[in-house]
Amino acid sequence: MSALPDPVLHVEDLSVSFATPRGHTVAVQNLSFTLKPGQVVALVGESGSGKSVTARSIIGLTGAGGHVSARRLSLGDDDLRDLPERRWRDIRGRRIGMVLQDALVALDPLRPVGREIAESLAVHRRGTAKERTRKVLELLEQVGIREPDLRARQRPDELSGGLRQRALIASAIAMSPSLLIADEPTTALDPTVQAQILDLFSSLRDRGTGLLLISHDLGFVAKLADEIIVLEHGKVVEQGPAARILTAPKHPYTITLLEADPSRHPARPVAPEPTGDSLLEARDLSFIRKGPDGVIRPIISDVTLTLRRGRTLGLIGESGSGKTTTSRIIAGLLQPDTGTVSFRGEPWVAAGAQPVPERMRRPRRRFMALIYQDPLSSFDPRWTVFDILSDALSAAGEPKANHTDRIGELLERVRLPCSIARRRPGGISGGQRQRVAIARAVAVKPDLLICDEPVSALDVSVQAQVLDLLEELQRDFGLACLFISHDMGVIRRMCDDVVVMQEGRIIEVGTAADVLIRPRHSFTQSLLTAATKLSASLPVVA
Amino acid sequence: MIPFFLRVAHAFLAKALNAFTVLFAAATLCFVVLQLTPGDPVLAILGGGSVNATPETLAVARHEYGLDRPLPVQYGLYLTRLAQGQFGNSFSQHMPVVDVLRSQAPPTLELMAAAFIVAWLFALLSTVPTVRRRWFGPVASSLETISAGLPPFWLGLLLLWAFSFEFGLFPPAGTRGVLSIVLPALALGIPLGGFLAQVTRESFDLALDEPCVLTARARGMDERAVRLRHVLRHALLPGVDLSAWGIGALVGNAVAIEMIFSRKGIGRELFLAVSGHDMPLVAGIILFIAAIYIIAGFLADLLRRLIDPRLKALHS
Repeated sequence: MSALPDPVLHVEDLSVSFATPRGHTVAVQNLSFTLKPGQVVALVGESGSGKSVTARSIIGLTGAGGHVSARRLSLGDDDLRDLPERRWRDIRGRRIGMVLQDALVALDPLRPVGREIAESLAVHRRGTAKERTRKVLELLEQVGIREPDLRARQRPDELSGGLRQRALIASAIAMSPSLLIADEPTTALDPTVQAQILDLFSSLRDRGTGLLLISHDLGFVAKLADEIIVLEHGKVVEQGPAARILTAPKHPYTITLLEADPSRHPARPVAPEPTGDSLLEARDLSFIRKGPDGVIRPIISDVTLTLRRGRTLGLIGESGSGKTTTSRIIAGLLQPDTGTVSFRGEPWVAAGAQPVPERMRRPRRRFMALIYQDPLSSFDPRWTVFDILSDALSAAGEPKANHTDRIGELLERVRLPCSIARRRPGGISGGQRQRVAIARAVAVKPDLLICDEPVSALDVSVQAQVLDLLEELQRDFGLACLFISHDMGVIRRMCDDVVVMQEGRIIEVGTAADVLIRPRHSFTQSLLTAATKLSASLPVVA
Repeated sequence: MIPFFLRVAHAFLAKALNAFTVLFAAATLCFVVLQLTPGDPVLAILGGGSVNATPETLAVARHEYGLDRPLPVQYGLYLTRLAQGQFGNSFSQHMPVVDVLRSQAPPTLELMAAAFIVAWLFALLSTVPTVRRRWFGPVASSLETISAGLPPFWLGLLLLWAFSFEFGLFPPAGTRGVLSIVLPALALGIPLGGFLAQVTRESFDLALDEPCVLTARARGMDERAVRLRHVLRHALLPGVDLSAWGIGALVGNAVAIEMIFSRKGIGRELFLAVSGHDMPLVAGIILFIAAIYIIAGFLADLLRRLIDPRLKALHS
């Protein structure tokens, strides 16, 4: 490969608009920056701010109906404006690589990852098939994957989140492009994996790759970026050296983004020692299933925990550690293989030959409410918000005549306009949907709220609002809460007590103050280290 | 851990039980339907309605074939014989049912295979290059909708008139030679192809929005390679599922098509057997078709797992 002349990306006054049936929508307006090899420019903003559109227009994949205009858009000596498709294909992959968010779907889920990486080479006719196979193994090693021989033959769904994200990065850097665009490269990952990917990116930067990093997470960006561009609704609201933006943000939106980071919110005040009577007790729960390889293994084993009235118990651990399985057993949705659960002083779940019959549980069902990560899939898409809430009220035994009034109260409680009652879940924003889910949960006046990653799918500023709301409702109604999250910042902010799970077992239990500040188990320590690694560089705004 | 061979045996037993149930249901339905259709089977045995049989001859024949016994007994005997693999003799053709199948099944299987190839060729050629293309997309899409709505017998008559009688390109009738299969295969395959294309078009359109497609483009892949190497595989499953159903539709429509083109085959034979009250032959053909159906379902299942290896992981 001959040395490429001056591989610098110049973007001046880039604007992207889309033709829609209702006229033109402007996605990005007047964006300018320069990206040199070995440098990192970060585009930060919430969903809909135009980050991904920018990334795509830089490699000429704006999408149907998209119109790109710029005073200058060039890579080295090549003008990228109105480039014919043929020339674009030569640039994509070879001179600019791209990494998308979730490797589970960003790599072809039907093929082994090795073939995907080989394809990046084959498209640009690099080497013979045999040389490519060898190069694939080299690349896998380069991104820190052990046993590359085995991994190359596995599909994304057979690899862990960290491995497949690395494989995706390997496929993007296969042709050693001088620039790499990474669109939310760590968003769906566990903090420990995020930290590893972060390391990988910084070593790529040190080797001279220019990085355009796109994220909604200022904490992640702060570790790498030389320059930060903050986007809101397609407009640049603030731009400058990373150090300046992180320490002295000027624009209110940047400040909101910085403050919304849950790890910067003060920790929950230490609650008095647990004296309240126990609301729910789980004893020795285990759940055994056959894995995809046919090997039977425990998903969780010997899980014992107690929830007291009015307190929040945080359940933390990496994905696959059994948090959700535990919560589903506690909710009475999954029958465990051993163990018992009692709720409100009576048997709720019992393993073995005599399970607790559903008719004994039904009168108590309404005292337990659930909130999921993605409320959209837990709503009937054809129902309006009114129907959804009215259904919950009926379940709580509220007479139909009162529904309109009660729904008005509920919507006010979760700070949604009354007009939203007529809308369907598909037509409202993610934050609004999660509020509807919360309204539905509290409509039945429960004692216990089970929240499974309730804010992970939301933008940080919306996250902060939803967490505020949950906190307030919990205080006002005296709710007990089982709170599942992989985000240490959220846990620190919301929880009184914490249970740490690893590979289906509880490895540490204690008050949040104890576990999060003085972790005893090495795994908890590594979880917390990874989390601080990601956010420590953010100075606390006074 | 359950040993591998036990898991395979379990899966195999489940499939076999399923297949057995289908065959049993087909045999039973066949018995019921023939009881409900008007006409006297004894007349059929003696050689059709034109035979002037005395009441005595009729009674003798009725007794000889067990048709004077109570229905449940007849049904029991019928099932027992089928279970032993004795399909008996065809009343109307005076030869073993197995022999009739042996001579009539191959032309029908050939016709179905040809129609199936036509259908998939049509579906792929009509969708893969045209989905989301400005002009070709809508045009191909309307063509698919029209094709899916065409009744095969009508299309058959049209093709027969145009290409045999007007242009004389293909023989109008018969089972001999490669040319004789072209028109019937088109008549059967085009409507099925329309259905396959409609579902494939929708899944293809969805698959084009998969993030892995964007990744492939970002690698510098050209549109054709993206469509053929990534999108197509994601889009095939609904069509494969529909194909298993399509086999059934092909057999049903083959009855009409074989009549129109005067082809040998079990479709035509089935029509004659039903109208002639030829119970053993009807049962034999129906069970044969049911078997084809079962095999098609089995093959579709295998194909699905080949296309999407994740299914194997889920079902094992």
